[in-house]
Amino acid sequence: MTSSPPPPPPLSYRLMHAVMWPLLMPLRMSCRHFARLCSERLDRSLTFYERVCLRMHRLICGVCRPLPGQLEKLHHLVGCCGEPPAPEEGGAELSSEARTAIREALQNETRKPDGA
Amino acid sequence: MSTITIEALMSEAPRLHAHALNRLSDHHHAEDLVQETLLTAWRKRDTFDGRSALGTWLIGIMKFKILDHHRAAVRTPSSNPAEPPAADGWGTDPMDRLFDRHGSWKVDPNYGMELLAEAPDTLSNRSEVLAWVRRCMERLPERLRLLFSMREVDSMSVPEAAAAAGVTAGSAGVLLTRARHQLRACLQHHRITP
Repeated sequence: MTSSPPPPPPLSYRLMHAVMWPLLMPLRMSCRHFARLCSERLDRSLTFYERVCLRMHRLICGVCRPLPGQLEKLHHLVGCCGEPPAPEEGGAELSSEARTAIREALQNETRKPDGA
Repeated sequence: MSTITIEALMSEAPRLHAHALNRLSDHHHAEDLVQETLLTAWRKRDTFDGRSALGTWLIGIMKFKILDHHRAAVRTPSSNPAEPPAADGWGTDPMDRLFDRHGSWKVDPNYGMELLAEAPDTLSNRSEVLAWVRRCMERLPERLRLLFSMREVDSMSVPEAAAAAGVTAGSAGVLLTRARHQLRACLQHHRITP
């Protein structure tokens, strides 16, 4: 694992988008729109036009093509494993004072006549 | 007659605490929440039918407590849902950092993302990856992380998660997009490669 900022996109991408952006922006088919729709389709049903935009953009932009898969895998990873680790695996621990207080509160509850 | 004992409840306290801490980021509030959850569980122990694990049942109770907590916090107008964190630089809209004014990528979105080309089941077994996913989630601004966790981890609907986080359902979509791309960019920045 290394920590470094990612490089700029490939030259072919930059050249193509330098030419294409005046067409893509008004049609809401830019890479930014595509990235937004890739996320929003995880939360809602896209409109017909939005689905068309996604398909069209995937056809013309190779750099964006892996993005939907990346977001879906992140969605899966966070959904199945986004919970914090159990304390013995390194999470913050419940203090002994808190444990004692909770135990006493539970025992006090037990002593109430109807347990309620 | 319930078979739940105080010891059984206490044995689940650390897990509940970890869950609460992930949602609240405040140690004292998390401890209070554990106590409230266990007291509620004790009072309602006769309703536990044993069809799910005790821990699962307790987490279910805690989710309602967390929702109540955040609803109460939202009524106190001290927090901004989209508030960026103070210093780490991940709090601004990642879309502005990733895209230029024409909507084209400023950075190569696939650089260092070979990892996310692996099968989801393989990824789920890689502890280093999971640790980084959690670490990057922790770097999200608190409200954003709360919204994102409730939506993605707790599988709440967008309106439910939005209500809990105190944002409108409309802006929740924008914020969830921001959270996902921030998380993706964080993993990419740290280049978690296979």
